[in-house]
Amino acid sequence: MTRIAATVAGMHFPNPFILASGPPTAKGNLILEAFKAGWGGAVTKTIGLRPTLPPSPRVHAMKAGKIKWGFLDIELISDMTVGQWCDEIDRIRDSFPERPIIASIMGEDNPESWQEVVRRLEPHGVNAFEMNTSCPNFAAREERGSKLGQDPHTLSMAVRWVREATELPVIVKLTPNVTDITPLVKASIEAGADAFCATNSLSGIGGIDIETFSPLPSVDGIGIIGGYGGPGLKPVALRCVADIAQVTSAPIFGCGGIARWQDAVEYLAVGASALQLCTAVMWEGFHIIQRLTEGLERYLERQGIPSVDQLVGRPVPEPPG
Amino acid sequence: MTNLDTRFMHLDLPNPFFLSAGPCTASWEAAMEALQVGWGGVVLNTICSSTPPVQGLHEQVIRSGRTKWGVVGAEPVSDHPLDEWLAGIPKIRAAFPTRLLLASIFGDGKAESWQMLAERLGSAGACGFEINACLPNPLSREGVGGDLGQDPDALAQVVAWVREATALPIVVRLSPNVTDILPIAKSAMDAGAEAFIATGSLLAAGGIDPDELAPSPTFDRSRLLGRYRGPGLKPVALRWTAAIAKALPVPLIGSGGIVGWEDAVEFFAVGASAVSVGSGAAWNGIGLIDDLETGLLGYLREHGYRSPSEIRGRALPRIVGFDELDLDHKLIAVVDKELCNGCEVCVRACGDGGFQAITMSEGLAFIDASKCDGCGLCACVCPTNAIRMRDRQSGQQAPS
Repeated sequence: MTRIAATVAGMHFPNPFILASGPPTAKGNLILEAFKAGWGGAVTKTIGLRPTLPPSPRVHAMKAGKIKWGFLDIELISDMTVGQWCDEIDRIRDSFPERPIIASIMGEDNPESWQEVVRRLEPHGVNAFEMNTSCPNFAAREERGSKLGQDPHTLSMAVRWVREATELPVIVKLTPNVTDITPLVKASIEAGADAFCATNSLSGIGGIDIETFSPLPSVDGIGIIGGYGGPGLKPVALRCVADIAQVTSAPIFGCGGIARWQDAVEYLAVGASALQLCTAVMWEGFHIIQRLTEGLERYLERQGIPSVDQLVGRPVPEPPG
Repeated sequence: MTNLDTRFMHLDLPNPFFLSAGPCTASWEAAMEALQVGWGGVVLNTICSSTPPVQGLHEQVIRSGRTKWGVVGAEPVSDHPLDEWLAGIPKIRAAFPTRLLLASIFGDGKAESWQMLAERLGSAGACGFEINACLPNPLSREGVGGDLGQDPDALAQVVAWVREATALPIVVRLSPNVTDILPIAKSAMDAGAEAFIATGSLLAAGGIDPDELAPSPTFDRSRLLGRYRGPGLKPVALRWTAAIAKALPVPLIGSGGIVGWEDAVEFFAVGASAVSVGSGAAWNGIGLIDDLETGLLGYLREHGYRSPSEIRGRALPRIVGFDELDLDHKLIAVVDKELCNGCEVCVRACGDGGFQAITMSEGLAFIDASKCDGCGLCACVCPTNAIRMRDRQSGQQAPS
């Protein structure tokens, strides 16, 4: 299966299918199981200095009949401490010394909150840091309450903090909840980012319970604006990847509604170098890696494409007129 | 006495269901037919002052198997000549003098184009105007997004131009492709907009057929990029409807993925006074109005409401911030043994995306209460709805 190996931002993935930051990467033993099943790499659930407890329930599936087309979650970052994560990563490294582990991190509006997490995790053999920029509580000094990933100036400041603290690749996970994603890309590049993950979930309401009028999922009768992912996110995230590929040659991890190898081909074609998956794994389990890798391998073989990177497209310029 | 009577702006309408500008209102005859079968209002397909902007992307239905849940395509605009509309609108008006009849208009970068459309269509009998802010910004400037509705200044300018030309209501179909919708809505209101449709379509990419890529991975960007509507838009449209309803005293028409009456109830609950249906009617026919009316009326009666306005905004106080959630409130999954078919979907989901709390026992799912964290994933994936989330009583043992 060498045809489907991928090298992105200096990291060697045996295949381009990587677990996105989320519940399937919430613990070391889950990542271990995923690696055994054949996943190309994993991004940990977001690690920060202030772990948060998750609400119950915290997910809701949007359906048409029996078909699930969207997934809404309302949890924040990992409930484990940085110290616990260091131990978890050590345990994965014992069995899989080479498989890329990317630490998803989130800090606050000061350099220490990001840099301490980086400095403590780095010695444990993580291969890169992915900045979660969808923090709802990131209060830029001049503009309280704005999200980190929605303001180029604030984002570039935070990327610089992380850049100062590490030589490892810095990946910025972008939010699609912006008027224009390209200024955020440019600001990140200028601040030293090496790669992007596009995208995080759309902000949305998963539905309203028409008996109780609670947003769904309902936590004892109330709810919040959550993160909308799964198949319904794909058209938006695919567009974002295409837009980002127009303005940078930095590698992009495509993320949003990938469940089949065909989805992966689409993301690669518009400019992604590798893929991240979460919802499909939650709905079906780690075993989907088999059909993903086999499907992609056969496709490349059938089309006579020697390697995944040959498929990574850059959009052709729009025809005049 | 329960009925569907709906007051919207200055109009008394028989129901809160409108047809969106699009294929179902593509001609004056189609719009007339829609009112004949009972729609409370119609928004005529967008009438442009000049050549329709950026067209050509063929409509791509987004589906899983045979189930449709989205469409990516061009923003619909009318290719019928203005004179045809001017001849037809008086006939609609004569037959239905009291229904909502909005003309969706779109001009160019000059006031005259917008004002000409507003004056002529207003004189013909339109009861108001829609400005579709999801169409390309005719006043585009360097560094500002492509939708009219992404540029608050341009949108305000266009609304002000139309306002100068007419005293009739102006309704703006807002673009959801924004970091924050409130400044945009506020600036449109200041310029004279009287109501909003929340929302229009998301910027998106349609699919690519893998077999069409080889041998070289190139594709035509103009064929890929489009607008995303249908059920997949609903979570975003609900979010923005709620945001506007909480902040601004303005009538709202919910729009985005309304296929059934339940969808309409959700939009009313987050603050809409009426809803506008696009893909749902395009897929199921305009006869959908019967199901919408019957379903909504039944719901209102069963719950003791007299009109749709009584459910307006009821969900808003329940949409809170994360800090207000009670994180000590824990649920536990409970399996209904009558419904469980032993498919093991929940076992895999909980195993790899949850807490490894589900095993198989005598061919049925079994929840280990000591491991279940109450996330709700198993209930989402269960194909037979055999798993319910229940309050965890302190000291509760695993269900037998």
